[in-house]
Amino acid sequence: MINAVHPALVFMAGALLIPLLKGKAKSAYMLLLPILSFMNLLQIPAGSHWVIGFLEYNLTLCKIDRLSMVFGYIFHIISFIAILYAINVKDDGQHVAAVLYSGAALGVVYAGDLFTLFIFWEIMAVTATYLIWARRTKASSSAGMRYLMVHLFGGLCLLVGIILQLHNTGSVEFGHIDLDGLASVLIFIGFGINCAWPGFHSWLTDAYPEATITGTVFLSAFTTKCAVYALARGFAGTEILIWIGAAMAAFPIFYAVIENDLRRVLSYSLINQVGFMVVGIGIGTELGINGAVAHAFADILFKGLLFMAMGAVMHQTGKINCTDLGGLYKSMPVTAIFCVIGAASISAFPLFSAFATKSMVMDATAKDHLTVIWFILLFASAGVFHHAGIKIPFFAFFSHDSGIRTKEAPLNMLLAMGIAAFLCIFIGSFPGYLYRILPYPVDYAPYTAPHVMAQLQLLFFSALAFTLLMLSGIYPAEIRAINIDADWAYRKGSKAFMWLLTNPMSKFGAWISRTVFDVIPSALGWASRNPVAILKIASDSLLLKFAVPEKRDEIRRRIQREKEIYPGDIIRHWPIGTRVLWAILFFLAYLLVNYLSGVKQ
Amino acid sequence: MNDDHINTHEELRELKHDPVPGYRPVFYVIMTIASLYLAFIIFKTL
Amino acid sequence: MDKQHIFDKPKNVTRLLVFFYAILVILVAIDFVIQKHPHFAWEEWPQFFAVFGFVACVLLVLVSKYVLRPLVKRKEDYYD
Repeated sequence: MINAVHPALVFMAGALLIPLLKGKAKSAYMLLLPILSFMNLLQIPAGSHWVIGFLEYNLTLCKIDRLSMVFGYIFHIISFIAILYAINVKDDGQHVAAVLYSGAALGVVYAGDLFTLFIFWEIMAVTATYLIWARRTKASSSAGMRYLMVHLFGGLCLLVGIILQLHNTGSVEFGHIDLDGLASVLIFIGFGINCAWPGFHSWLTDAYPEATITGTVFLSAFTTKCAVYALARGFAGTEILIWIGAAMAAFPIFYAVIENDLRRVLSYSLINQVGFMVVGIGIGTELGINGAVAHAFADILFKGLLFMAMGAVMHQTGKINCTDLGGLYKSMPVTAIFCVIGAASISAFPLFSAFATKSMVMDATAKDHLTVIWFILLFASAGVFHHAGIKIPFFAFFSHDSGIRTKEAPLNMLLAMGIAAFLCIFIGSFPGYLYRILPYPVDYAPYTAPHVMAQLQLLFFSALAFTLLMLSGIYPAEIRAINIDADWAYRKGSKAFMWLLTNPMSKFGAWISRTVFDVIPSALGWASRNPVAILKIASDSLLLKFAVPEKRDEIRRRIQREKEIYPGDIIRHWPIGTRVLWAILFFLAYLLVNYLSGVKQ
Repeated sequence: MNDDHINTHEELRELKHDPVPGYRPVFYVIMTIASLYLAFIIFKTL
Repeated sequence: MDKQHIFDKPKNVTRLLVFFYAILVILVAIDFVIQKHPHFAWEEWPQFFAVFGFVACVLLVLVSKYVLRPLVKRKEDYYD
């Protein structure tokens, strides 16, 4: 019997107590939660635990192995950092949602079966949505709604996939899944939506910049990394992931260059970094998986750090656009230094974290002789330095002086950034500690002379490109504008649908209902009052069309008169000829009916 | 880099980057050499 | 009056740039002495990573500016 509770339970139960506490006690309690949770986690030995029977299946609520443990460690570290960063926020709803969200992420990582994974997956979607809505702006409420819709759709794919998988294999255990057949494809897509694959990515760049300052730090850490974990466990070595990952690494950097909102720039670079992880998973060798997991570990820290730095800027100035910022190193020098450390880490400068992790993925592609992928990733490496490494710190803290003078960020924010910055440098300088906890034994040395030199050349000459483009005035201006992306399809698409619904469709509908319920009955009613007169008016109108010009006036006058007296005295206006016509018509009809019934017999 | 803007807090529609005279030819020359050399390397080895 | 900060003085900016260019020269120079053990043939050529980094970034910026931006840029209230 183990002396511990489920890894997600400390967070998830603990979150509910947050609103009951006040002041310092609340802060202390919230900071204690990740520590307690971590101590609890260490009590659980490797293997499957809390296996419960559900219908005729066994659900494994917790499965501990080396892959899940790496994510467990980093999720605890980042939740401690993010809670510390958020501790001054006076909004219990946000705190509860953030802690629940962190707990659900742990639940996903330790889920031993697909159903348990799915339950925590959905809890993550809902709590994350709350962190977006908590900003309480018009933009955040609609972005949050879109976020929820996309993730519920993804969850639906996942659920249907899981049920089909269960039907096919009779097991819900979460292990390697071969990509064959509908079930596996649906699960694959369900993971892929959370992983922000190209085409499915725009929920991320749409929602993260609209979330609360502290919420985005949590968001950037968990959702995509849980998907990376799920892909690493379920779909390692699936070749198509290599191409998906390469596309993810490459296309967002173009958007990042022209984007004005700095948190949106970071969102694009988040997709770019996850792309490297997805390539590593797709390669599926020990080096590839190790690289993907190590890079996820490092990315959570430096991306968190960059989002925290930009959050601090936003917190102090209320602004986040390149066009509004600049020169903040004067008032926020400490934040500026932390931001530069985060920028150096994401750019993979030697001695900073990504140098020791991203290069494992590069090496894995090279070892498999994936030339095109290698070039794409090298291009993305240069690009990430350009937009995240230079653009973020440069436009926020240096560049042209916006004239904003403010104070340094609050102490708790600085401490949180400080811890993340320290860890970025620590991992980069002593990668052995991280390598030791990776899923497979590591036989990789990042600090070789040619690797260090190659990386420095790549980065410094990228910086030269930036410098020369800036100084020669070719660098694109920062413009307040929207750059449309894949979310256009459902934002404008839904608008177009709504427009169709409200405008032409509703007009058409109204026309139909008016015609059916109004015009036709009233016309019929009107006509039935004296059908013969109607026939006369109709025949006269027809006559008018073919009459010789001299007769037209007379016919017109006759129609006029017929309309005026309508319906009039029914009998009196029946001329004799008409009566004969009617008699003949009835007679014909009678003959016809007789004839037809004769044929039948 | 000058103090003209201090505490003016204006929000720009567009932040342009003014060229510094003399840099554009330098950029063109380096870009030309670099592209040609890179194309040459790749042509020779691929 | 606002106090003078480090990059308020143009001299400091120039110093930074000179320092930066010096690093570039050093990186180009040491390329010739470092023993390489590459996966791909082109990695062996001197300054491969330098020219690749430079060209990649210039292309990235030019494509973003002249291809992507005209395609995707809309007014700020586009979605309202």
